[in-house]
Amino acid sequence: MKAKLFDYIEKDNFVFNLSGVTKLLCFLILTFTVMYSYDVRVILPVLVFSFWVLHVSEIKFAQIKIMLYYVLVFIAINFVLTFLFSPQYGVELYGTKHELVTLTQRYTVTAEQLLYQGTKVSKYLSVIPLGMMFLLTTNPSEFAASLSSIGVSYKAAFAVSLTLRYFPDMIRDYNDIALAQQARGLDLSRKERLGTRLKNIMNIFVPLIFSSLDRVEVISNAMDLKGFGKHKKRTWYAFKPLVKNDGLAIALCVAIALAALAVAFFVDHGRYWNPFVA
Amino acid sequence: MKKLFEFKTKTIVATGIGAALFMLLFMYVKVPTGIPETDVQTAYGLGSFFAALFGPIAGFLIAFIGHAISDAVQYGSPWWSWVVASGISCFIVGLAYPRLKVDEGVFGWKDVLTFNIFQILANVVAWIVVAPVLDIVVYGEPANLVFTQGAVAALWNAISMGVIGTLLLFLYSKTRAGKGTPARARCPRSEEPTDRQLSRGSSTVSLGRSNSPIIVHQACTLSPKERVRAFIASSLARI
Repeated sequence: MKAKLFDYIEKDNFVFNLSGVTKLLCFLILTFTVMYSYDVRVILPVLVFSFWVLHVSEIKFAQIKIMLYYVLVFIAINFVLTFLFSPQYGVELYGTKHELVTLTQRYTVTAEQLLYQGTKVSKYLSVIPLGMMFLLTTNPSEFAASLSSIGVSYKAAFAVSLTLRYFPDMIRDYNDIALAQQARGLDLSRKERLGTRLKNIMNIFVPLIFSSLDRVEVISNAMDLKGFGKHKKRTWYAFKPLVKNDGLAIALCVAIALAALAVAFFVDHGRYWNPFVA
Repeated sequence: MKKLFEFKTKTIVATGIGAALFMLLFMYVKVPTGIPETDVQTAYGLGSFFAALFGPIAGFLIAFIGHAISDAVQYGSPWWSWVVASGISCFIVGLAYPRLKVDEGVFGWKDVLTFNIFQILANVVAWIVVAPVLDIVVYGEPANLVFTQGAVAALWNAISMGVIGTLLLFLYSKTRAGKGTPARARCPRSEEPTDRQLSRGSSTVSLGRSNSPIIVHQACTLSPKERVRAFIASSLARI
């Protein structure tokens, strides 16, 4: 278990110099665009665009290697499960049936299913680089400021920044307690039965959680003493003001979103692109 | 009277710390069940515990933030439908908050029942209704796949909340002295020797002591029900 999940390494390039608000907005706009559209002709350009952004932001492959493995495993499992549970979902969706390979009566590979699942894979793939870009190029201290300036209540934004601040501490505490308990002979591995393992986990949970509750007490007293929450608004030390490049980036993302919506409304007449009914 | 939607400094801090714990457990502390991709997420046990202590808003934010950030860190992007469902499950558990008085040391069988009714309701609503419906509407996933996944998630999360959440609340109530803990407040350590005597089944321990635990108990006039409760608490604490 690592206390450090990802590195924030400051660099000087277009993406890094954008304000956190811009990156958050762009990430959300593009994510929801890709989530909405089921047209592969819209998604592929976004896919290319998001990999281009990843390239421009000069993130090294080593930084995102583990995430990529997780994602690929997830996509593979989802791909197989979708076919196992709904092998004819594409047929249902597009209303036609072009059979390609027949495995059994139920598991027939159709062109419709391939298009549906292929679109889905490209949807997942195009969102991932955006998320990684956002995560790795935004200063964690700026994150709360960005959330609050897109309209999230500053109290909730502050909770997020507390989460990011205390996560490494929690991991350290957890490791200390787990090692201490294992030294006393507690087994957490697969060798134990499920019930015993649950009981053993409780032995780590109880000290970890109860010490965190004490910590809640200490931190909230400190914040109260400094007058937290007295005013309706709050300024942020890490806030980066918006400049010309931010405007450009936001405009570009909005343009992509609008284009995707236009395609959905005027070309596809819905979320799905149906090439089978001409 | 506790207000349902109160958001004090303490709630904010509890939310932040709770979300950090939720993230930690969500990513690293899963109990594998043998079926791939369907681990028992211990994080929901923790989420329900915090929701019962700090209310629905804290519960919602803890699960929402914790789930969203751990998804983002692991997969690059949050799976929004399940992140929202996580938040809603802990929000509904948090609705039990005004009915419980755990921080005053009260957590009897009736409270266990209340908590678990809310918890089961929360899991059914979140994982069998909200998550699959959002999956279908937002992500265009096939219905029978997401409903199967939802049902499995509901079952495991209900187990996690029911076992871990209930136990944590129970143990926490024992650490709080207040109106609800007459036994411990009036005679501390009363359950300790009894437990040792009962659980080890040896008479040497009690013989070695001049003040026999039974005498302590009589002096404290514990009701049989309280004695049973104290015994369960002390044995749980020693697992």
